[in-house]
Amino acid sequence: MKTRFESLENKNVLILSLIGVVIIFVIGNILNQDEYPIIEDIYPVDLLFIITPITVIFLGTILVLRYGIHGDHGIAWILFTLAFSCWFIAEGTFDYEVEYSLENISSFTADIFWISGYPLFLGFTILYLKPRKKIITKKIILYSSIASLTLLIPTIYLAVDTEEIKSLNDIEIFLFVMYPILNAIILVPAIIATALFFKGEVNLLWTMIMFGTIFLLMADTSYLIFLAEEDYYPGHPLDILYIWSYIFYAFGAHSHIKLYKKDTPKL
Amino acid sequence: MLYDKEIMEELITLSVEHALLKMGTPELELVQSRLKNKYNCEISDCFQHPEYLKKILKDVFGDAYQDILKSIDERLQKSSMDKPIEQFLTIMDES
Repeated sequence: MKTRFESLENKNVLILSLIGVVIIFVIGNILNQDEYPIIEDIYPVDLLFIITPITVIFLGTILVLRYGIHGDHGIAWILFTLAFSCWFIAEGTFDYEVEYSLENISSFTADIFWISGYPLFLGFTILYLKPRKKIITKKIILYSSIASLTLLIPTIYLAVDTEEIKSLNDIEIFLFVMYPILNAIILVPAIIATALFFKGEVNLLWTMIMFGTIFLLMADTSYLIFLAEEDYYPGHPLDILYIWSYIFYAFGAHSHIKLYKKDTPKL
Repeated sequence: MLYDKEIMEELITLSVEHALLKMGTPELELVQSRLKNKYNCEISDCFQHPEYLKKILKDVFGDAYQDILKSIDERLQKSSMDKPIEQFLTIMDES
């Protein structure tokens, strides 16, 4: 029996996209791209942070138009698109040299949008699963939570256990520890859905979302470590993980569009 | 008898449509088009061929198929519990 990943029609495109991102980052670093900002605080590889979320928003919009506002899944896709719109704005307002200050609320602009995206994304997962709530047992929730915590706890422990973490102020530690926790929270329904739709064609969307969220969790934890070591710079290889997560989300949404495209019945 | 069959078919159609529309219109349209393309039939024809509907629901929704079946079952239970309906549900429930 074919696995869902094998049934992904354009899996070669997915693999090429993932490799392509790595190549772009390698070239960017070889050519010292951080010396050639396109505009202030936007460097050539940062364009990937514009292209990939826009792609997810575009695909989400197609699904919103396809579903309308009918049914739980219709509302779910609206929330999905809004979540990525928030994250896109956050990417656009991100500042490499940000200095957080409670007196200057604008220093939190990107984080406000990033954080706002999480409840929307969680709403998407909950509404998508709502019609199947009767088979979501406490046992499934427990196992998915354990799986998510198994990923979260060692990464947080590794990050917080470093000497360099002391160089960060309380606001920075609070913010950057919160992201892996938020990722772990959205990972729980993604694992539940992957298990729930196991063997079904719908499963491909959730497998992609699960991988995307795992990469996001890894990226946010690595960000905390590199920031503490003052070793984060434009075009840092850890950004590959962020771009990969967007690519997985995009392919997930695309697989859903392909599955639910309007078919003309064969006569 | 023909009148009964028509009522049963209508009942099955409504129950299946209700269960799928709870998710969204594309889910219903996908099942309808798969039935047409694979078996050249409508949802109402699944009254006599429940295995067609079962196969498609399993293909699309995987293990969650059982829960969709439950929704259809509940809807049908509310409406009737005639022998032919019982037969339909028995076939759909076989693993």
